[in-house]
Amino acid sequence: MFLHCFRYELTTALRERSVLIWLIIFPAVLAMLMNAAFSSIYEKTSRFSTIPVAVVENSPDPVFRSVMDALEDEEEPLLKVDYMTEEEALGLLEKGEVRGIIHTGDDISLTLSDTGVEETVLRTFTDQYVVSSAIIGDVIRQDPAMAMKAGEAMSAELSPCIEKSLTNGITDPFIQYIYNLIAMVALYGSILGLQISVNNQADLSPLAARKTCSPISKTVGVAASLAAAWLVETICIVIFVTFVRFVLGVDYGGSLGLVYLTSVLGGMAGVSIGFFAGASNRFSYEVKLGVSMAFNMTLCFFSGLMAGNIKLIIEEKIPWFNRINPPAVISNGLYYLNVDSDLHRYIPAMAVLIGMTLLFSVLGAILSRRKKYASL
Amino acid sequence: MQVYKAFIRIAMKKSRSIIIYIVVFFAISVVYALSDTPDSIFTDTSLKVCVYDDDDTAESRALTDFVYSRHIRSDVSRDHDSITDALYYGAISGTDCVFIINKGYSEALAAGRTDDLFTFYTMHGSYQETMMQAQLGEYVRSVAAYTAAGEDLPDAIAHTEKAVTKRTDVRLTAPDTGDPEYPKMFSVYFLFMVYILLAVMMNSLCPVLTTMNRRDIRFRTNCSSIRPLSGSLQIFAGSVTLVVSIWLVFMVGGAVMNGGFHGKCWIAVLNSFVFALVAASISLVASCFSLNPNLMNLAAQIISLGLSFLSGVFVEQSLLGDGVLSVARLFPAYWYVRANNMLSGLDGAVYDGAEIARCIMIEAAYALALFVLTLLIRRIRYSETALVSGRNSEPAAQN
Amino acid sequence: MEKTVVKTQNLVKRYGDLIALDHLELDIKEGEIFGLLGPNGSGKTTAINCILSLLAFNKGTIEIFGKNMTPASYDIKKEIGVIMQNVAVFEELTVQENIDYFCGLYIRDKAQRKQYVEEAIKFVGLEDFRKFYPKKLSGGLLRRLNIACGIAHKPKLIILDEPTVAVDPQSRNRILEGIQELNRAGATVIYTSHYMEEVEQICTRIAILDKGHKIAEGTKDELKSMIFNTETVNIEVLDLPEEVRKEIAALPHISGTDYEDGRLTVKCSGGSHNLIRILDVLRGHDTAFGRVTSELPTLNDVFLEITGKALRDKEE
Repeated sequence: MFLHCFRYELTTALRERSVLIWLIIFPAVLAMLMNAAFSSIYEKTSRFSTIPVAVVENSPDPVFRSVMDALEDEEEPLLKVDYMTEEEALGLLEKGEVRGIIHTGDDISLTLSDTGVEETVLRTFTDQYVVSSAIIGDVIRQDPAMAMKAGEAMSAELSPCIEKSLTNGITDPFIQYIYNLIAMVALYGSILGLQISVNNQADLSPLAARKTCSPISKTVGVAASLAAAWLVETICIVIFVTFVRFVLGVDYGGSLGLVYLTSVLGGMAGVSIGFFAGASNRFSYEVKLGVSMAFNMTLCFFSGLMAGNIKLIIEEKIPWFNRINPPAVISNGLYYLNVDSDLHRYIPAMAVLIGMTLLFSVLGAILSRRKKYASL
Repeated sequence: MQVYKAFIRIAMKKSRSIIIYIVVFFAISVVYALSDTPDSIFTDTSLKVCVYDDDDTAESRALTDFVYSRHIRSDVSRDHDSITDALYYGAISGTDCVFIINKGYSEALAAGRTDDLFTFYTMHGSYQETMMQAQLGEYVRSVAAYTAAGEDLPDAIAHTEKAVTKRTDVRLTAPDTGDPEYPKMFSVYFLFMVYILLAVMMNSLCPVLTTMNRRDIRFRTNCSSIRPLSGSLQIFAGSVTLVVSIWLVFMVGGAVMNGGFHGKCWIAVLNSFVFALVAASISLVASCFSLNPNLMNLAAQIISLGLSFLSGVFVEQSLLGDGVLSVARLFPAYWYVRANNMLSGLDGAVYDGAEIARCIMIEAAYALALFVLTLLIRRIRYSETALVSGRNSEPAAQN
Repeated sequence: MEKTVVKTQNLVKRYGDLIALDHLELDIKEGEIFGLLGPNGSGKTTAINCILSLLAFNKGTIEIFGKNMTPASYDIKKEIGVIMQNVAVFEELTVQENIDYFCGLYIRDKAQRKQYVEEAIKFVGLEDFRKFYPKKLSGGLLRRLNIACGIAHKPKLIILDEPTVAVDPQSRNRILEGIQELNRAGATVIYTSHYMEEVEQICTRIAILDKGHKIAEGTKDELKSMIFNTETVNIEVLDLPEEVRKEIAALPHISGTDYEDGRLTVKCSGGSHNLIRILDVLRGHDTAFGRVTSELPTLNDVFLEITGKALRDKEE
């Protein structure tokens, strides 16, 4: 009997076109858009890459030139230098083909068109040159004899910094938006959860009334619906995760198997929340749907679907909320998989998801056991 | 005027949801405009830095103070997870650099050793890290130079702090943003109009138009003595009324927020008006296909979010990939954003009156083209259904 | 004595101040087609929903097959087939799948289920529409599918709540014949409607409800005999002298006469051969007459007489 109900619940859910639209097509299109929009930000702003720069020599400066040549010989050079006239340089600067113009001569000066990070790096470089010259000048003024030593110290190979890598994962923080999108798809599972109550509570649909008149026990009927909803959500979210990974080619970082597990657990939690929301009140399906969608999007907002830094602000002000806000738990789970070398933060997050799934399913089941209705 | 009146009446019936949309989107755009512009995180050349001082000597404290005087202090609790989180989100907000002044820093410095003084936690291999390391290197190098020249450590540090404040002369070709006539916050409000106008138009105009275009209603209208052209024109007049009302609401909202419009603002207002027409004509085209509410909603979401993402509303145009930009040029929203950027100097754009006029003309051309397209679709679709009456929407069987 | 299938005692259901069922007593016997007749809002559907244990009621008891009915009475539910007023089928399932789904809620055995589903499809005449989705069915066919879903498992008690609302005459007749066929096959039927013709046509016993109150019960003949008017005779008479009309009015068993626009209406109560006696009078005076019709009372007349209002509005 359970299997009979389960089979048909599954068939109806899979044939329902709006499920396909909201659980697969919409997030997939959103993922494509985000991927297109965000894919180059990280490369363009954060990743270190060689900065193209023009040098205009007002008078020959062999010292500067030798510094430049030394710089360009490095494996990952800071600057890519081209020597040219002022007009040429200004033209390239306007087109954005060089990030700045260095004028050499008596004084080093810079012409920039913007105030971005690359410009700042460029400026740090010229500042360094200016400072070094100033120090040598200082020392010569105080004690010319020491200038030699100071000069040696200035040009000595320095390695004051030890680097300690924090993670082997993907460090592009914009993958967060993809994590949040997965969380959104998981929460959209609540649409399926709401459908359970509509299909089983006699006061919500004629179909449910008919089912209630049959000799199927409510518990079996509801359990079959819930199981079918879980499966449908699992199918949808797996398709979505697969699409993003293999069609859009987004690397989630961390083990793909666990990424799937996280998404599936998240989806099940989403379904259960919807199930509880459906069973807990007597509003019509439309009202339930409207309210839960608004509620879901608010939760997603707080986990950073729209504005990436919201989650950080919450982490600072009310950290416990990030531990229980379902989309935040899901996206954090994926994030932990990415950056952590072990599962010490991942496992508690998954435990929260499983706990939520159980809690809301049981509560929903208890509430939908109500058998007679005051009005239909 | 009957059709027009019916249109307005139906629009009034749906006014509650239209008002909800307007209120929600107005709130979103105000929040968006008031919040930090996405711009600032890239132009801010002061870094957010966290220093752990393990050496805890006068010298290390001097360095710490020096770093914090040049950059913004960020406090990160000292455990692996917190540091990971802080650095991971560095590009969104949070922290750009975290490093330790290793124990033995001052001794090493006094002894002229310059290796392994700092431990850097790294994440991205970012510019920010490169910059910070370069500045620390410069500092250490300078101190070493002064001590090599025979100064004692405190003197060397004092001189260094003075020397490293020397900066290169910088000349900016384009003056930095900030036009008092068209302040940045306000231009972001207008930037966000792309999303708002598209979403509100599609969600309010399409349902009304879909009702008006419904087959049975259309047939009944066609049977009446009204001329088809007059009917279409009245529907368009109704759409224009609705569109202009919605647009006005947002302009009045903007005027209240900004305390009226001055100078360049009026060009932005014109720009947004033309784009409102574009949004309306997109809705006109979309409603020709008599989609069910679910699909219509999907179309509205995808078009409004899609154009906004691709045309540089949520992410600046200069940060979009070249492929994305070349596609975006095909959309009217791109030209709207471009004009708005040039007006305000957002995204490093430079004011160019002729170019702004060209952008607005392109938008207007899109509006016109989409309008003509609507007429065409209506002609083709509706004449066909009238001839081959009800080929697919009738129930398949009548007993 | 026949067995009682459904028995309600003192059934009271209130919606706030509104009394939907007022101490309703029903006693439905095995093999009957029991009609619940009443205008909209008289409590028919409420009574059905209470019997099915869907609705909570305020007072009273309900027994089905001699056992107390509760939401968990799965053994009772097994024997009931329900056809609700609203079409209750899955839009996403085909005709055959819908019937199979609902039948499967009752019948575990697959082979048997397959046979039952097939029989139900034939029964309602949807053989050509097995693979159709409900959206593609016309109103009448959809109603037939709705019925098939309710009866496929061959229940002993079939409850139909206005199954013919908005159905074309052809489908309606088919449905009514079907109900009688099911009844002949041994099912007890409870049938609610506000179409008195239907109820008259098929029901073996009828209860009339008004404002949650059972105002009359019996076979249709019993009900009709309860009222004063038994027959109405209409005669076209071009010119009727007043004295002739008076003579007719003076005949035995005549309760009233009326002459208007060349049409004589005579109301009779009881007696037989009334028509012949009236025509004799007309012939006796050489009064020419045209078409003659005689109407037997309808349940509407019964309802009208008991409550003073028509059973249903003219426009329906």
